[in-house]
Amino acid sequence: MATDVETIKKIAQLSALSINESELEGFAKDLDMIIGYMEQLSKLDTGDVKPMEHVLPLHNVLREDVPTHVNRREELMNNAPETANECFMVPSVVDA
Amino acid sequence: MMKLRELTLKETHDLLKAGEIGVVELTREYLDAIHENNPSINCYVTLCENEALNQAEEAQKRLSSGEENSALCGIPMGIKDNMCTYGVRTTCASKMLENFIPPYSSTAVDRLLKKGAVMLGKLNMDEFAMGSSTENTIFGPTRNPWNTEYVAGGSSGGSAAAVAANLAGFTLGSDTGGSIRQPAAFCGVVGLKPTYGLVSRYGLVAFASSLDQIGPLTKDVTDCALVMDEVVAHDPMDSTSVAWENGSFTEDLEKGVKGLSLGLPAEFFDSALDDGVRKAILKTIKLLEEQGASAQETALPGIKHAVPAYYLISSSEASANLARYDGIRYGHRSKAAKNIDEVYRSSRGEGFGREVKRRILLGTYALSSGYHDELYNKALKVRRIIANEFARAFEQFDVIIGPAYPTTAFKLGEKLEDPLKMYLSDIYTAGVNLAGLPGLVVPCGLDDKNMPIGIQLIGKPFSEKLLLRIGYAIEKAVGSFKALKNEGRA
Repeated sequence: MATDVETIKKIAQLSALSINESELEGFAKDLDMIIGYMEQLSKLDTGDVKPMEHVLPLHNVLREDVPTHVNRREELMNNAPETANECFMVPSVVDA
Repeated sequence: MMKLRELTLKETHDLLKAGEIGVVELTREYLDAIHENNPSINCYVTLCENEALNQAEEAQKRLSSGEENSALCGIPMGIKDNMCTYGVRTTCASKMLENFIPPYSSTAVDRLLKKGAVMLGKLNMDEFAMGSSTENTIFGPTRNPWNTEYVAGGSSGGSAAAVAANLAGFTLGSDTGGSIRQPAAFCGVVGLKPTYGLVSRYGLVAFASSLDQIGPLTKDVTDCALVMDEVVAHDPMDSTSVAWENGSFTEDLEKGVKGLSLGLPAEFFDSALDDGVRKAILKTIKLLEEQGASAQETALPGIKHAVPAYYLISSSEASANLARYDGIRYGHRSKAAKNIDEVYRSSRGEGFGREVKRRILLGTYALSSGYHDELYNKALKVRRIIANEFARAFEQFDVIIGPAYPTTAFKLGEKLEDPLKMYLSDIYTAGVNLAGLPGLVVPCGLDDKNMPIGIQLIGKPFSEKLLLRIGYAIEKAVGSFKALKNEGRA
């Protein structure tokens, strides 16, 4: 299961991450080494142990639906890279 | 003459309360020292000079009127730059968030500010808390105040260095796989990674949500307990927040270690451990035995799989958590992008550094179809095995004791080109996060290069008071941070 340049391209696609051509080789080498090491786990007999996603028993926490942090529109919009007419700007997503 | 900023939080509080010093004078001394020393240490990435002086005046009024008695009132602090601070840039040391001004504060920071703590500024870190050396940062590396050729550790390197250089009364860091404890060990300060759920994560920029935990870095154990007293509380804004009902963190400090049992896992003392670190740890354990504790070797065989399990789980969670950075509502947006798909891809490609990309790729790979069971699910099973082993150990021992890191601080650049080597050294810390346990690091000596060594105490969930009590005994036996520093400079 070696990770080569093609694998990196595929995972980068899944991660919505552009990777420079010049970096592909390096990432392939790094991940090949790292995942190669991680694979020691697959040799481990974990029997019928249940996966542990979380250390705490997770349950839904409910609270009253009271608005907080209101009237922060300007502060929120100020963080946007591009805005117009109090809206977030993105390139056109529908063909004209 | 002793500088005010060399005092511990507790000593400073006593002088403030007695009216012998003022908060503004104290804050100015810290700010002046930061101007003088930060260029060589590079722990602060954002300084809040005016805000700090305003907060100092306010804190002085509250102290003088007796309105606020908290030990933290008027104490200058620094905050790791992955905790949101209202109106103050919060970057995660990433180009992605270089200009991000949070519209709210994290609960942890908010609690401290409400008690009158004075925020001097935001502290350097590895980008998105991914790293062990505070070298993966757009601001340039933080340097170890003990010797600036060495790293401060990471990812909370700025938080540890600021305390060690007396550039903050105390700091907050975050710990996902050792990021408070390892830099604390490298810089000779006290660092506590609390039980998962004890400190609210609301407003902490998420790396791996099931592992992340905020905690204090301080000049001594008493200070650590005092910060915990204020920062711990149930928070309805964090669904994993738990309530603490065991009283003040300071109340057991002086109870001593008589009758306590310490477990030394063989896996923490194997050949990977540097000899100088081993000697200091064993010598410290001897001192505890002389005070009536008993020490015995034990085994945590699952620990040897903690590093792969930790990196698979944390990277998988990170790949999901970091999906929110899309260049639309906040964060870096690529100028070259021509369509929406390119906005996502190029903004992320330009905004994230190399290590962050590596982790996103690793996590996405581990979660992708075909490898999900073999890698991610397997790691979750190993996580339970490790948690169960710790739980069994705590049936026999009060605490697990050992090193925090195989070596003392390494030199800048030394490990940067070998990511796997950097990961492997998390062997003594990562398992603690996987099991959600508290881990305390206390300085216990110096190596032959005069660099600090930290000893790690691991306890069952919510045993912070016991860890602090043992840490306090170590500090009394070995000498506090200040004594260690004097020894190091002699």
